[in-house]
Amino acid sequence: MADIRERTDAELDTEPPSGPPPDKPDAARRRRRPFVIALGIVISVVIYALAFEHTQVDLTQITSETRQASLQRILRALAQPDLVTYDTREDVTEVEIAIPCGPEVTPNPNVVIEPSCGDPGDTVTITGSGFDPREFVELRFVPDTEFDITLRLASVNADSDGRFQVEVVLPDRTSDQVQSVRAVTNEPIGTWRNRVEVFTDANENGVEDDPILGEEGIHTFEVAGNPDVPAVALINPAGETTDFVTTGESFEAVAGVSRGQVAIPIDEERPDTGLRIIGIDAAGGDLSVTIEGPPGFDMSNWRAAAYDGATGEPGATTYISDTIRLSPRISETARITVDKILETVFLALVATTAGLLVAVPLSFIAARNIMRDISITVTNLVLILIAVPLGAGLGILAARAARGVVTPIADNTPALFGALALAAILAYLAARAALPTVEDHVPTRAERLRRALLLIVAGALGLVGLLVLSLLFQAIGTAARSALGWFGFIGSFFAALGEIFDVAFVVIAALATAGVFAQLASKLGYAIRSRMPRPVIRTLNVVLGGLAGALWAMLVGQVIDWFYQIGEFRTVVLIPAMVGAVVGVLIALRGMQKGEVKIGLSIYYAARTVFNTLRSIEPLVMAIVFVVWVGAGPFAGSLALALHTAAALAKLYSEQVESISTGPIEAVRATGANRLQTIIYSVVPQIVPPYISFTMYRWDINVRMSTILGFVGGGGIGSILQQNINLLQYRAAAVQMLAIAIVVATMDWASSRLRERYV
Amino acid sequence: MLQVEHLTKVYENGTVALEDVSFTVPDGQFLAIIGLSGSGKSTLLRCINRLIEPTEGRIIWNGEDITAASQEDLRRFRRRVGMVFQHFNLVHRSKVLTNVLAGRLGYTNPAMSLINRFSKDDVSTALAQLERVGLREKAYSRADELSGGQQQRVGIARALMQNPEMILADEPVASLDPVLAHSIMRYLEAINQDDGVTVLCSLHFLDLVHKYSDRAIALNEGKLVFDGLPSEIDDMKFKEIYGQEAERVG
Repeated sequence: MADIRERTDAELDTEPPSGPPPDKPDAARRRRRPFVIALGIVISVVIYALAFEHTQVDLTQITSETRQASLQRILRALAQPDLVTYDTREDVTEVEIAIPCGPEVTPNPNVVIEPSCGDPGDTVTITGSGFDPREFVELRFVPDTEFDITLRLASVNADSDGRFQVEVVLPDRTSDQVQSVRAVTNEPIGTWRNRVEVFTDANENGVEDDPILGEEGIHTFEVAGNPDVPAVALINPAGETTDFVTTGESFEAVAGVSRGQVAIPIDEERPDTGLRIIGIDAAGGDLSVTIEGPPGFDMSNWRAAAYDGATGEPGATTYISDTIRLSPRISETARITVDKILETVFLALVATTAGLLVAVPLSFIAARNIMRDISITVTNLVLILIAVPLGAGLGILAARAARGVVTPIADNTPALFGALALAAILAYLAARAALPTVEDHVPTRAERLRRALLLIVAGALGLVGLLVLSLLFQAIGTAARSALGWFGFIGSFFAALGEIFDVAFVVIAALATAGVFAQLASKLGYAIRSRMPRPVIRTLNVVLGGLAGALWAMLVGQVIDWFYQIGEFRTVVLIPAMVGAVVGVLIALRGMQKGEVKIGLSIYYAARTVFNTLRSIEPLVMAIVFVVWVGAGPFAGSLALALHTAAALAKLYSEQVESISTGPIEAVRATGANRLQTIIYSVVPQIVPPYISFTMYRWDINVRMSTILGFVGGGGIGSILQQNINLLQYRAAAVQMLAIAIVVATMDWASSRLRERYV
Repeated sequence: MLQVEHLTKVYENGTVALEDVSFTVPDGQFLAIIGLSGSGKSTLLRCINRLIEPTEGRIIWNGEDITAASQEDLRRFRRRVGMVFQHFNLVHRSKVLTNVLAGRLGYTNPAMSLINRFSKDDVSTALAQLERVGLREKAYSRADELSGGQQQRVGIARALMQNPEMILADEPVASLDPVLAHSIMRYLEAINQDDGVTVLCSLHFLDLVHKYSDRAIALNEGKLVFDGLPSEIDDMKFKEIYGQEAERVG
């Protein structure tokens, strides 16, 4: 410490005089400075001492021997991820033992128990020899019961000479019969080093045959099952169908290994691919198949699959010879991990997309430069505040009514198509009639009314179209789910889209109706302001302000009631209404002094507050709520992540909107463009590249986050990772960690490359 | 005819940008607005089409009170008034053609803009306007690939797309070298003389004022200090407009 302090002082002394003149502290401040520094040091020491206390920093834990062993175990497991698996064969050596002493026991020269009998609780020594060097041996006691159970006694590693010696305590299992101890070893077969293993009778036909085709080049074997029109496919070790014949007409396999391949009548010409089927005999119980090939051909791992030539359905599959060649293969853990990591990436994709769709429109209302100038007269404000909830409520009612009208044809797909086409065409025609391409003259009042009505009709028709589309998607999706077989998930996707549209329909209907009402309210407000004398307007403002305040306060009261279940009219309706009315009147009075209310800024601050609050809650915490709501699984995780993404992206996007250059906006406004046009022609072109960039970045983050959402049941790879850690299966956990590392690194790289291209 | 009556603009931070400015511009006039930087020239031009809301006073265009116009009336007014900017104010990432077409937005239905559609007539007019400013072959380039002079010509084409009766030019040549400056000024001159469009143009260089304008007004600290023929600006007037320490450079 002192050393550092001295050096700093020295540096201060040698400060070059050419620098800007330092702000000279007065003498008192200079005298106080050492004390301030000392106090700062003392405070930071106390803070760090507290931090150490609370984080339980303990170096003895790190260095203690058992902890070292644990670390070694986990690091070694992590270094050997359970990626490939191979077959093992259990070897069992049994040795007799008597508990208590009495019956005669036959000794086993390989495994010796000393003494060979005893009472429960006695210690005996088991000595083994003739095992493989360092082989893992498990010793199990086989009690004299009718049940197939064994009790674990000990496990031990043989030494380099294949010997072991271990002391075990005899279990409390007495019998007048001889009981036994098993020494069980697992011999690896099918590893790279030890690849060929003869499995006697792999095809389970009761005959031991040679995998090498004999002099005459003919081999006959049996396949289980006997369909009316037999067909057999020959499958090579790589899993490809090399020959596919039928005793009947040619047909196409609908499933199984040879799916999509055509079986040729057995006596027709076909290309020579080594082994070929020359005879199918259906006379016995099972199919007897004869094949021909070059003498000396190795038939290991070749398989034959039976098919029903009438339906194309697959039957049994069997090895054609008794020998199969085992090789290491992708472990089950690796398979599951690939599955789960895909789930993770898709979870992130769905969450990012959903968040993006919400965030893009919201980003504009959270952009200060867009919202700053939006102000509204008090009359309009109070009218809109009253109109919006009324409109939204009416919209929901109308949506429900529309659904009631359309539901009877929900199962009638042609009718749905007809309705959709009709709604789309009528909506298009209405919109065309309502919206002239060029506004060349000032529209008359009648024209305006006609256009507005046509627009509302077009909007309503469009909404009905959306509803019909949702029903159509649900109907088609549900039908396709079963019809598409493997691609049934596409059907499910459309069905789910239909359900989303169904929800969107109600939301959009509510918003649209609220929008129409707000528009009408502002027209009404404008009319009032331009026709009525000032005192009338003032009175109206105050009255309507009170009304609007009461209305909104009652809505808030309903929300409070929902949370706390007060259910008392006075508390949740009357008092809020009164308080709201007073607040509304006050706001109306205050707003009137300024003439206009800066509603844009209020919305901006509200939006920002909501985004910042949502953003500060970790998706992991949100996932817990969603898991309770929609059940554990990736859907809960995507919802949680989507919510967080929407808030985070809305903030990032809105900052981009705030940083755009204002010149083009000014220029476009000057041409007479309205607010919407200004945004489309001067704001959007400027923000598209950063939006793309931030979306990529966010997807990258979401992939990272979704890897741990599984810890709380939010789906993705985290769930099995946590499971494996809890079960101490570190080698399996290592596979998942590896997968996470690879995917996250790839995403990181890909997203940064893509972002470079767009910015 | 444009009438500016007692125009005052006080910004929210208390800065008085314009103070009781009144003048009248007959149709077809080329009016130069001169004055120091910060004297209120830009504010004046932006108050005329209400890009900046005036605090007090009235703008009257052909008898219509612009300052009291509703949003819709304002839209119809703005679309007849082209505007040219010192920094061109093109949308850099958009095509030149799109930038020019933006001049038609005041005539285009907003719903059509939503799907980025302009009528065929508009597109052919836009190409013709680009032809007029000699940039037909750049129509499909991105705006930021153009040089400063070219960008300003696109800005003029955008203003012409509005089929304007008046053009407000806010120091259109201040960011350009003298040669380009004259070329841009000649475009404005042609628009003024051939099409009879009223031009209000703020300028820095007096030689440009002398060469192109019919009349000049001068602002100093938001007040109108001169209104007359460009030739009337002698050394006395010059000191009055630009301050006692100023010296003539051009």
